[in-house]
Amino acid sequence: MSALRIAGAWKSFRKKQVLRGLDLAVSPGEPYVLAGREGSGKTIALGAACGLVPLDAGEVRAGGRPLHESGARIGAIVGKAGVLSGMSVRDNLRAKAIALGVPDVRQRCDRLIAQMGLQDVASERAGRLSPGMAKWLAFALAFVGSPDVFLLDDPLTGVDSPGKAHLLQLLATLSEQGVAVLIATQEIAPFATLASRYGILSGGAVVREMAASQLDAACRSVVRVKTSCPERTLAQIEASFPAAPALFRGDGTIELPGVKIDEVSRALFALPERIVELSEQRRSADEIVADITEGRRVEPS
Amino acid sequence: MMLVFSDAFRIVRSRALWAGAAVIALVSLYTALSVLAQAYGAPFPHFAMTAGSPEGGSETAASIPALTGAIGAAALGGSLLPLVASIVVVLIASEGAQGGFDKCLLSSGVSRISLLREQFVISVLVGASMLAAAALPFAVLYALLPSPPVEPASVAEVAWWCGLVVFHTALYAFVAGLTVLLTRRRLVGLLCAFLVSLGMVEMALVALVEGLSGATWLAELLPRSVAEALSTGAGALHAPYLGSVPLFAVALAAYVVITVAVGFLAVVAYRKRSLV
Repeated sequence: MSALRIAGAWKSFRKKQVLRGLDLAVSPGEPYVLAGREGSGKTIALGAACGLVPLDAGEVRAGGRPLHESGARIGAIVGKAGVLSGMSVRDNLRAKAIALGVPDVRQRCDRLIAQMGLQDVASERAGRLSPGMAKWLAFALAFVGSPDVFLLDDPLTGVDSPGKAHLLQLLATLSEQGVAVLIATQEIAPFATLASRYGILSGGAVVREMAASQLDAACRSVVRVKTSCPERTLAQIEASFPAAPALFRGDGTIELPGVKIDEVSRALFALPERIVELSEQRRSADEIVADITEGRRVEPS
Repeated sequence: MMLVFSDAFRIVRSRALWAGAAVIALVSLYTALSVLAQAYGAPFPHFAMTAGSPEGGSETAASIPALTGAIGAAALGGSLLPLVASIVVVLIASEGAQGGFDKCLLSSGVSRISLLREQFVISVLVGASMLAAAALPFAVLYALLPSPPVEPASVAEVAWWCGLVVFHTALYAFVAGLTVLLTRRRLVGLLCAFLVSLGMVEMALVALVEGLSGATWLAELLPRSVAEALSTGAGALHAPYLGSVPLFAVALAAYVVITVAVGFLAVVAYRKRSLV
């Protein structure tokens, strides 16, 4: 059973359709990365997942039951983090812990303060924290209710490199403990070590889901070719490698995944065009996401 | 129930609450001193503190209103209590709204209805705190009087009266707090606090209804008029107010109906609102 399931979600704001039949499911203990460009509907999708955005159609279920009846503990950082600027860091945590009925509030808050590295600022007013520290307080606030489902919108923004590693480790530990983690982001590369599944969001719907292994396969070597006449070169390549999805980039570069550079070299040998570039490189996960978002094939058929 | 504890925890740590209570306590202290000075003659403190002063002290003390009447006149007479409580609630609510604390609770599984109910609880807690701040200077000064005026109401009536004053104050604060919750703007909340607690909305409503239907009874039922009657003290609770209906019944009915109506409108406006 899914820890969280969004089914057929539609949402519009002032006639602008933001979600168009969004479907996604996250299992307990699964770190799921929802990737998409700005405006693709990531934040609204997360908002719907935690009840901040009522849907026009579709439903959200947690643990197999409608969200509002499920009693699921959800920790979320979607938009503002819920920091009360006039109160101390410790009191912020205590106020939320009390509201959520957390047992042994003091101990739970002290443990989170230590876990998030907030010991030195625990008594300071939250409004005086640096943006980095405020981010850690936001994480602590989301953690405080010991959530079953954890939703994060662009969690690495404003976090330094050691902090990113620490957060990824925390999220990995959470998922090992059975917590479903749903992360919305524009850049998936930093989550490569964490995610077990990716959903690519475009135009308000998940256009493609990939297991981590599938994404890894899609990132395998690609041969890049650039010649003085890209159109003729593309025709020659498509004739030579009918099974490989040749990608024609805007700058005239042709990318060929799933073939070897010497095979391409042999195929182009007879062409009269001047070869500007012929190289083999690995594509980044974010390039793959961009290709999928733009409707390009990323794997050999 | 947990939300109530959380609210109490938050409110006690809010500087707005203490600032509001201090303002009310100071105004109340000034009013109390003025009342006593008028009764005993200046310099009041020296005169009043002299136990068993023979110069007609007891006769003069008779002109001092009873404790609840004095508190009521000071706190409700000029809409001081509703105004300050509304501003305090707006400041507390806008801190929560601007930082996203309400969204944070909603995303953690707290229902929207609970959050609106919580807004009312905050208003009641703030209202009660403000009444306590208004009552404290009077209570202390009256305790120091050689012959304090006798409170005509029983303890139960005084408790009822306090409850109604808090209800009255909370009602205005609730409306102002809801405005912040719905608009997420402090300025709009403050504007609402002034317009509502100074009675401008009620006056406009009365003028409209009277103009349309000629009905004059509506003005008597509105919180501002009820509060005027309440401001005379707990002794007036059983006095006939509308026809032969006692004041406390009219006040309770009016406050409950208005609170339920305001709450219903808030639920309608807030239920389907996107908060991202």
